[in-house]
Amino acid sequence: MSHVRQQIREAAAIVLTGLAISGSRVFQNRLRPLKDADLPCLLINTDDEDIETIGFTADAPQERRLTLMIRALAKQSLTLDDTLDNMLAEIESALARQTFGGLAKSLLLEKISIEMNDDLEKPVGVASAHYQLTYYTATGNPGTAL
Amino acid sequence: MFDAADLAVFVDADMPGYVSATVNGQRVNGLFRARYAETFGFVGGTQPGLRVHDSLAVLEGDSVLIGAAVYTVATIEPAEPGFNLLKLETV
Repeated sequence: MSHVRQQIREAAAIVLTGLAISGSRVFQNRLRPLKDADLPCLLINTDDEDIETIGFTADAPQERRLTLMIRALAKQSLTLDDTLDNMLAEIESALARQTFGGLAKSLLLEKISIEMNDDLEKPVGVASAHYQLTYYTATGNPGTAL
Repeated sequence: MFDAADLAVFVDADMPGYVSATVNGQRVNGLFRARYAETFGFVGGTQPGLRVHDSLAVLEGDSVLIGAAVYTVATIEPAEPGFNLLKLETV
């Protein structure tokens, strides 16, 4: 039984696969460097999570607020900022009102951050969409969303 | 003060990375490197750069042809005495 975090990450990858710009180049928790053939792409990470246990019973429900990070990456000489903004538009549209099949109770876009760098043979940009996702589990049962 | 003859020793056909490039239409001898690099910790690529005499008239945005590869000059940085490093961007 996989953790709900993993189920959410995998569900997000399914929803975000096939967008016009990034296509099938959607990676979960990727550690190896991306090559030109991998770009433009989306990186999906399930990051920090705040947990509040509601009650004192052995199986008390836990409210979990997970940071779901979607990073859009592109490497190109011209109009890099336009490409990143277009990728963000596609992400936001795809994730609007998403519950990932009932795993999430809410999904809120909290912040967008942009970074650009010209160290390589073409400029590289990263647009990061920080989502706060709320889901519930029972204590001791992290593989089943309530 | 280095003169052209002194500097020519450093840009010689026997030197690793030696190229005869075309910079904005001018034939120029230089030392070319394009080592592997990463940015943001997860995007790989190269850092192409051409060392040329600092007497070369060149501006950011000028075109550079090295073999069949076409670049533009992204930035011009002072390098060793008598040389500039042209940081290149692929077209």
